Amino acid sequence: MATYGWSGKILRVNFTTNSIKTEDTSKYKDYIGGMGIGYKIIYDEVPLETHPYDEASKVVLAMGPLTGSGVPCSGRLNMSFLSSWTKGYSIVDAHMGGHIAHAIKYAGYDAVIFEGKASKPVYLKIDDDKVTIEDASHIWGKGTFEANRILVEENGESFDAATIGQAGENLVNMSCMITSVGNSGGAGVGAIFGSKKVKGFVARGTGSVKIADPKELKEVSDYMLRELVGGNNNHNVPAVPQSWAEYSAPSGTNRWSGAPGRGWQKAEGGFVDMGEQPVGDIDKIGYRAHKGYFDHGAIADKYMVKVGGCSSCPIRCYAQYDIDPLAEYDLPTKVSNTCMPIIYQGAWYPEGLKDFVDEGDANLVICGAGSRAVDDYGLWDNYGNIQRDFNYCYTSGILKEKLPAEEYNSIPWDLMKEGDPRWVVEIVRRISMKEGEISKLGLGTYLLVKEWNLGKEYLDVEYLQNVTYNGYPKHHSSEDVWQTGLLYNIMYNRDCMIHHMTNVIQSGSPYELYKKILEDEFGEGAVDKPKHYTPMNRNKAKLAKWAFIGKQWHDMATLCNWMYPMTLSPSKKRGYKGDHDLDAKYMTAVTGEKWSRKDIDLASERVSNMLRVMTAISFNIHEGSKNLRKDHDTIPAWVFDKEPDFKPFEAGTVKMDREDMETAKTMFYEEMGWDVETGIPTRKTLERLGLGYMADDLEKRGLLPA
Amino acid sequence: MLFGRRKEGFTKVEKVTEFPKEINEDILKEKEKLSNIESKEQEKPDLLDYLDELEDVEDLDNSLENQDIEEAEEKTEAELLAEFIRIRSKGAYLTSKSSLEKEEPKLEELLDNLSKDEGCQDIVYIKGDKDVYYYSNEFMSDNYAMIAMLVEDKDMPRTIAEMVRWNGKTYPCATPLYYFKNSPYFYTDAQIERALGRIRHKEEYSDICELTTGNNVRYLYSTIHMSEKYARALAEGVEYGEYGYR
Amino acid sequence: MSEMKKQNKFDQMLGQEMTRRKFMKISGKSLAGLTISASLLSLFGCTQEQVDNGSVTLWTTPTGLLVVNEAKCTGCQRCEINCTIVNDGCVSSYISRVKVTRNLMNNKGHGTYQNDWVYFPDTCRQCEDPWCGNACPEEAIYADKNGVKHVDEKKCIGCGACVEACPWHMPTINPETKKSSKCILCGACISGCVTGALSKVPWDEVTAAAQKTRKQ
Repeated sequence: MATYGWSGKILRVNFTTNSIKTEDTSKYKDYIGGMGIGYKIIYDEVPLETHPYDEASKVVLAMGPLTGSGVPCSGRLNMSFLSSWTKGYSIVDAHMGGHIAHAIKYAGYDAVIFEGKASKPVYLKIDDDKVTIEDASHIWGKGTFEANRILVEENGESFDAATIGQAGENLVNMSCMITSVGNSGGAGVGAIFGSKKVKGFVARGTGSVKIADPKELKEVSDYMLRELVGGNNNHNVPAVPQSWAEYSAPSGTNRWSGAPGRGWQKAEGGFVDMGEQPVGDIDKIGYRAHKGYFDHGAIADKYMVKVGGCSSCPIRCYAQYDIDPLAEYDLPTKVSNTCMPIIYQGAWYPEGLKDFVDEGDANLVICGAGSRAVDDYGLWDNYGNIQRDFNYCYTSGILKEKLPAEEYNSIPWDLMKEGDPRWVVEIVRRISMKEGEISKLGLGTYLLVKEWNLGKEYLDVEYLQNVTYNGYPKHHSSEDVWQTGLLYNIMYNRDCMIHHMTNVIQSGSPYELYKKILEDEFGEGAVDKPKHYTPMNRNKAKLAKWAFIGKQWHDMATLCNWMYPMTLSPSKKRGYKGDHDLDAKYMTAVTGEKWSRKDIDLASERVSNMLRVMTAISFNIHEGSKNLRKDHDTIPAWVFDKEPDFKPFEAGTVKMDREDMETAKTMFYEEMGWDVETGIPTRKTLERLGLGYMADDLEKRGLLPA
Repeated sequence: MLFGRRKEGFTKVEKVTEFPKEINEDILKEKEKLSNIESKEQEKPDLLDYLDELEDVEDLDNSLENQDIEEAEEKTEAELLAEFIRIRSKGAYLTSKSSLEKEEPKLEELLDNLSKDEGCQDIVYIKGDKDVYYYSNEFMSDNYAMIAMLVEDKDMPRTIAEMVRWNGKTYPCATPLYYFKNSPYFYTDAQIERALGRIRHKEEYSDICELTTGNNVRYLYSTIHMSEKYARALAEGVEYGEYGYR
Repeated sequence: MSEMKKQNKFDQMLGQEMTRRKFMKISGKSLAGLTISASLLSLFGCTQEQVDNGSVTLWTTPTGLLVVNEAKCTGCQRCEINCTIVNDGCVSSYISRVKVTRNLMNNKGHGTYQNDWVYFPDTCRQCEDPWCGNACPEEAIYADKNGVKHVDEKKCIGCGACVEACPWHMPTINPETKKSSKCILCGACISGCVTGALSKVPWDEVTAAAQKTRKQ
């Protein structure tokens, strides 16, 4: 039964038995959608002992009530599954933007459960209520660009597609699923699909998402677009002075980078100038994000055709390039991406890069080649860890030591040393095809350390950026948000993907302005001056809790956490204050039920605690651990030992203090209602959230705090 | 050719006989092949002339008959001046008093009327060293007007020093030299270097200091608002970013 | 209002009407091969180059000139979303009266899956002599006093004749209501377009810019 917001049905596909069934979504109502539905199904149906590549392992791909509802920035989907590559092998999520989440919702499904194992390569075809398992032998072994193209061509107009590349097929842990617009779901999901012999899926939907109060939804959306939305990362002031704006960001960290004189030189019919984008002018919002300029400077304009992004989102954070210098190397020139693939390929060249045509174009051209390569092979980079592992192992001599001499000598190092774009393609190919010892880089950092006996001290190296000893790096951490950022960075089983705070701190707004807005809500002392932080306090712990649980909300709803919550606004009239009740307003308009921020927080807290409980159980199963504080939440030495010229709390540093950080953990656990000794949720907390059954499970395993 | 390559059926259904300039892409290519030079020399007709040449089409809509005639108010001269300033503000331009004086002999009287007009309270001014500049604060922010005034006054050392101080006080941040290459400054490297040379030798700018980050990007800061160590930390924070030096 | 002012206003409107009728002659047709003055280009928000290579189309509507600029379309689908929220009370791509999704993925060798970024919003042409209306066996498609064609849902039997007859397949039979959805020029797609790929220039502005061009 379709209800408002939710499509009402979950699609369950078993690739062992070829059974295709639908189920009612309503039994998962407390878990909202996306990550929430994913966690509930994995917890109920997949024993946490299961090896991620076993037949019993599942992927739950899920959207939420706001996905495809027309709410701006609601184009993302969430995939939950067991990790193959982190300490504890616990629950992780992959998130994918683009247009395909909308297509599945319009076809009538809130979620798709992928289970079992096919005997030969297949893909799933979702065409409204006609769902079939189709042969994929003709695309198995192909890169994602070709596979996706073939799939949309053979299925017809308006189909969208997502596939895994060779990395996923070959069970490379560091693998993802990709659409051809560069939207990627990572965290190793590629290999889970690969283990099921599922190349991917196509989707088309001619149905709709029902809206309880369309007039209200339109009004709230227009209000958001006129008054609340900023640029990329919801930065609320432009990077470059614009005549209507009081402030701009002299620093280069602001992502509202569309500006007069900047634009797309390769646009059809000539240069499109992005101009000024005043608050309230809906028809110019799409020119605020100029990720090309943000990533690569003025040279990006030369190769940009357009900007792009997800369905429903006015902030077009994808840069779409035609980088023609790559043609000389017989490499594809069309590149569309927004994240690591188009930023961080230079790290594959430890000895440096050289320019191609213009001064300063080296990184852009290399990133263009790398972006196409990783997306084609479907290799996930673990937020840059794979590049850093390579770079460090090369520079420190580890590679030479660990690789057989024959293999080491067979590697075309000349290409690397010459800054040739074919080098990044070659190294990505070797890892994705599991070719040689060097492909162990595709295990992920945690297992690489074990495999090559690199020792715990490897994870203490500052350059490598690991935020725990579990195998993943920081993602906007203490360098932006002191103890608060570090706290939510260590909560997950992958990089945290939380943008609540970096969106504010790096917004380019004056410090006093955003400090007041946040402290009005979270209390005095919640916010520190840039690069001058103070000892831990209770309000910082409250702030950390808000960001931590809030991110879960966005992956349930689903809304883009790069944009939401609307903490700041570009509007002077509003005193630059955003609207934290906006999500509830949308839920009310879309679902017709009365939603408040309190309701949202409760649902968010519920799923946050599910993450914690499942992590505790996995760590118990795989590590024999009874204590997450000690075994999961430990922070590597570099965070405390970096910047030797500074002491913690001195103006100019974000070097953290060990004792203070332990205080921070204690306060955070207290705010979360977790046992401070073990960092595991108490029965009282779990029961408050309707998770009594999880408390029982913990108790049975001897993990429930006394 | 419009949609020609993607939307078959388009040219088929239009009454192309009445539309001699509607050219099919293939024919166009053929023609180009035949007389490449000739086609280049031929001047393209103007849209409006072209519209005049075309025969009228039947109008089934008759929209004129259905529209109500609205009342239009006459504007006073002060209102017209305000409107002029607003349009320029919307386009990110200040309006200098000296430029208005050239056009308008009774300017003082007009400005006086303007200041008394309730509907024109958005028109304000900022004083520079060389001129007075008017703008509408409905379309242009006061802070931008300050920047635009500095740029209009064309005193680069002062502009750079004032903005480095203002940025240091307001955000707080150190100011990269590349900031002045962007809109609305658009200074060249040579201009920035010349201005820096003058800043170094003037007592009034002795608080303006320079630092270079680990990736060789030059920043300015004012010692009135921050220490060298803090300025360096902020600048390094920007340049190092989330993933290492850009 | 004085008689003189009324007369002035009337003259202005007559000017607009003449402009509208002039532009009707090229509604939806290629502008390639024509030079467009700077003031008109600025009004349309496009460049002469974009006119020359066919990425810009002008459509005459009763209330203004609709400018579609595919170089500026970034595929966000907000036009479809706003169309269906306003007209259907739900959100959908398929039944949207403005159509971008079908061009976005794979459209005759173009689109994101063909590795280029050529896609654009298709809009109803508001044909003077409408294919959809002429084909309707129930005469359910009628013109209102402004010349905008509507579907009378009481008469529509959802047979799909309008969809087939329209050379661009712009109407769609809503699979849930079994009624034809057809553009009524509500403007929701235009006012919600975040890059101005769809824009509408009111006739008075077109007229003023045309007069300015003529004076130069």
